Amino acid sequence: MSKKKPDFNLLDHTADLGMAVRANSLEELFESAAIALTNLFVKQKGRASPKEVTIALTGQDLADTMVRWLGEILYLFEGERLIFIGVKHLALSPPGHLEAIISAAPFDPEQDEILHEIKGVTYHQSAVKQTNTGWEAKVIFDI
Amino acid sequence: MDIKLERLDEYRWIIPKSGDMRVPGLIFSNSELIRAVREDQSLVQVRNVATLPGIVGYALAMPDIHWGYGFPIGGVAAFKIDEGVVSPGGVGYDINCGCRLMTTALEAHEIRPRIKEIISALFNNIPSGVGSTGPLKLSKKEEQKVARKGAAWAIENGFGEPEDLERTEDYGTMPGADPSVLSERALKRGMDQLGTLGSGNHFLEIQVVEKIYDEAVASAFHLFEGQITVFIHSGSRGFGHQICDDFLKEMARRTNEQEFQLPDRQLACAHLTSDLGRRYLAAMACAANYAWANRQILMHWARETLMKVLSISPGELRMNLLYDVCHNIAKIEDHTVDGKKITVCVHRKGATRALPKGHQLLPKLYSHVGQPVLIPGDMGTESYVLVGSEAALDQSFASSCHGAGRVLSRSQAIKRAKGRSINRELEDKGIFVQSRGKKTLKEEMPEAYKDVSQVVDVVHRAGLATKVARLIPLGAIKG
Repeated sequence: MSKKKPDFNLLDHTADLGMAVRANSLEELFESAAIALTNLFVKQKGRASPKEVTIALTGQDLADTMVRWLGEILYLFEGERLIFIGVKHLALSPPGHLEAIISAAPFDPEQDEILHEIKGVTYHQSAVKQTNTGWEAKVIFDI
Repeated sequence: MDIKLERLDEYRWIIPKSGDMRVPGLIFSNSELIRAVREDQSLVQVRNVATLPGIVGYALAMPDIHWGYGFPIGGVAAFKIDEGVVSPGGVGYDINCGCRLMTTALEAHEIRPRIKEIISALFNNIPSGVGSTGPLKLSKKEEQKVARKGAAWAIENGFGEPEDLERTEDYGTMPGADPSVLSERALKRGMDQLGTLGSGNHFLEIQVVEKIYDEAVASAFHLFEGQITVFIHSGSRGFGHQICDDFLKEMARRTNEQEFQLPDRQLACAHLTSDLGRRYLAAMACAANYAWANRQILMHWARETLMKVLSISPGELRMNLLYDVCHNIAKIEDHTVDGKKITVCVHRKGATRALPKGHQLLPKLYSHVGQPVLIPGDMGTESYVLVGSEAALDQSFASSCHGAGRVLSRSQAIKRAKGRSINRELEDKGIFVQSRGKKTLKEEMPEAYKDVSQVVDVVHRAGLATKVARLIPLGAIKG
């Protein structure tokens, strides 16, 4: 999978912030959602060398898997100060098991800019569904 | 989805019981505020909360109700201990987000000319902003002590005075905290965030008491017109966010094992008597304690900063804690339901406890007047001090509103602020604000919020808490 500009838009929510992400395949959808989330909370300007991180998780269904996946991307930043760069390998097996190797770069406080503090990836109205043109996910964040 | 709403009287609306609802919904509002409520999805969320097992009385909403995730913001719900549940989504990610108000001996005319200098000094001395870390770096062992002891840990370590504790809800230490149930992730995130304000709607504000409504209570609270006060709004930072996330995920995984259907997965919950429910309450208490320690430390640094920048002694400043309240919490409390006294778990998601005078949980200091209820406005408008009243015990499990409540989404606010200098507009009103984030002032501009005076007016007229004083901002620091 190659890193590319994700197809997403922000969803209006009175207190918080939501996003809708679209992609051709389910695997691309998960990568695009991770890039879109990362773009919401940090602007990476530094050039720190990325490292590989392995993520394995199981959701009850695709929406649960998406929330848990984005939760891992958020924790990597909030807990480990690593910025998601892209997916090197991502495999999904039904109903909701995900295994991925991602690349993530250390946050550089001198150069990178934090945009929003996202407190959590919520389940509220979370959805992953197949559309006529591919796949779409919706997620709301607590900010 | 259309939700049937019946007007009960001038300030109360009912969502009649239907479908899976176990109790009706009850919303405190007025004819103007209720219009915005009908337009978002918060009424659906009140109805959803009403379907949870063990709920008693009503699924309640305060007049600052707005669309949240799972519970509405401004939601209150009480659950029986034996058959009821606890829901991390009913507390929120920012466990024990809350407010702290300090009185001083200073008067507006002494501070107004120096407000820029004061705000700049506070901005430099108090860590704020997204992902902010502070000068305190806790070892794991020390962090566990913070989680157990709360504000008492801060006092023991030189951040404040022992008498601050009786001026803090639960005396600054929620019982039942057990750090052994916490994840390594939660502990890691909490190590360097103690003593930080955070971002978004969190703030530290220098205010002046503009109006006293109740002289007797104001006197007991040591408030007088023209007085300078300091208001802090902050929470449990990444430590609390991670605890919510950890338990929400665990409870969501077990929803299939439960005998009831959830209308929204964010309402994932566990029975209060279950091992998972008990572990969550023990972890939540750790975050509540962390938040109380956090606000205690922020207050101490604000006190030090004011003394330094004004070159005055502690005796000249006399910056004393009036009270500290939480507005994102679940608490085990005794209440009377249908004429019977029962023990329940009250969830307050964006709602403030409001105990009347004489209540056994009040410290001696406020026993003869009632609990101070602190209601922040936004950075451009007034905040209020109220006092708890008997009617709140009867109507809302001793709960009141928690703030103005948003009315515009962040993107709507940014659009509305396009081409404007919010900083300049506030300065024109005599309010000097410094913020860390570029978008913060636009996202948090006054128009993004409901009129806090209307919200407080509903609370006052419905008798949940009564007005004591109105405070207006002179300056603020934001994340």
